[in-house]
Amino acid sequence: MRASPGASRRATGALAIAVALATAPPSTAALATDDFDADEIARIVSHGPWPPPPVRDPSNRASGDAGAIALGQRLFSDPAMSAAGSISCASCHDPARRFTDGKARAIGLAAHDRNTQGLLDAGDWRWFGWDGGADTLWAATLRPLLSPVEMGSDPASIAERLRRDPSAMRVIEPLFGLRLDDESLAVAAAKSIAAWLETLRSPRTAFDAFRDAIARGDAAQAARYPAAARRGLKLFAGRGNCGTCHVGPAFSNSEFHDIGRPFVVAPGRVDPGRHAGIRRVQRDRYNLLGPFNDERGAAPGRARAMQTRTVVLQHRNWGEWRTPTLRGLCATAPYMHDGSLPTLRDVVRHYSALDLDRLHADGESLLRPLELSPSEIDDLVAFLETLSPSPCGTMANADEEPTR
Amino acid sequence: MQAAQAPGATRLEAQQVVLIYRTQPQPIRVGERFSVVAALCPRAGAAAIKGLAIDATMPEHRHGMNYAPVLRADGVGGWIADGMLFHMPGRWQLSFDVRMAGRSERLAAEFDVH
Repeated sequence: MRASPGASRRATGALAIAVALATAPPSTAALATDDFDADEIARIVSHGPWPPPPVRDPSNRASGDAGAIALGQRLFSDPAMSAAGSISCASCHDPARRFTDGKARAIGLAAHDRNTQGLLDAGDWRWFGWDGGADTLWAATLRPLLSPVEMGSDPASIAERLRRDPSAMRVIEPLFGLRLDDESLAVAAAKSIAAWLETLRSPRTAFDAFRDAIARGDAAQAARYPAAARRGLKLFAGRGNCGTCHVGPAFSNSEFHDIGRPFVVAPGRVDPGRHAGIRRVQRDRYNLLGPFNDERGAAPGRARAMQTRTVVLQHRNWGEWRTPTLRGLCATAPYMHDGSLPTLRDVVRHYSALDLDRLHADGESLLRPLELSPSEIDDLVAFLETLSPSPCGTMANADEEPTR
Repeated sequence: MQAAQAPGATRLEAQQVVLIYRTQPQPIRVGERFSVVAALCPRAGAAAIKGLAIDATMPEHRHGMNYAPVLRADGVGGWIADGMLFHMPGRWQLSFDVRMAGRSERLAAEFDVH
């Protein structure tokens, strides 16, 4: 289904205006007379620039350490980190698929209830996992190593694996100390893997080029952005109100929302989402309030542990899931916490025909069915596809390699 | 009592108290933690102030923050609420509940966060 003729004419007209502007001194105000108003321009610009500056995690002493980063990359793909020696982190978080696996629900040593989340840009996140059950990237890395559903290992086995590897110990001991016990070595392994993961960045996209052109008033560059994507972006930034949760350059507020997706995973069994995640992170020995947080001396209001100390468990957290990034979506199908929507078009259709009866009665009153026409669905999908470095339906290639 | 108003500070008035607050950092940005620094001045003849609570909501969305700020005294008669975080852009209402002997007063400010 393509855009209506009227919509195409409007888009062509907008393109002509944009091209004409290229001969005049460019300005954002001039672009605002195009197919976006000033508020929409401001929202579009808020989704960049990309990439953001490198991140460092003060709770992880391995963060930013070159040796730990190299070790972490090696451990990520090492099956010896699992109980059976048969799978590695990369078995589900496949780098060629933007660190996902293409399955609806992950399969580690056993079947998982949730879809595998991508890991690019994870260093920016506040909470980790669909339920935010971890408050750091390293704690989120340690959990699957030890989970019987995922890699099924234990601190003693991980420690043994590391002690047999002199090159690993040459990295770990100067950072974490000598004669470490098994648990501390397992944490060091997780922190090293996290140190590598936080260096991985999504590549720039067609949207980023358009956003930057808008920001600097470059009408000629802006005019290169496809007309359907422009219309989709207008829906995203305008009537769709999508940027309320898909905020900023990462297109995620790193918080949790109920969008009416099912949380019954099997007859008689539910996945409570964020409600369980808060309880889990609060009792997690490896959380920011625990003994393995390396952050010292931060001002009371700035310490990263503040998020874990102040997070509130509320009834409405039932069925809430982390707002995922929209970057690189083409490589991360299927979608949602349970992988229940196979395509981007299915995702947009979900929001178009949202069933309000599925939302909590005491939840936030934000969502409304978008009631999109078929051509508007096409446009919104076209926009979302420009958040990937190459078109949906193509396999990952060298151009899609994450940036460091 | 006359309170000096710091740059970037906002003054709120109620029947019994005047409250001056500012945020650290300024401006508040979506998804970034901030603190609220508040000073309370009882009006002449007002009851003694027993305590203060600080919270925020998005009235249009019918929800509050996902975090309960930690309140502490700043050592010079004021209060600091740490751990505030606005997780969505839009209109937020910041509220201050002042407890006094036998009564309480609420002061509130609304503003847009981007």
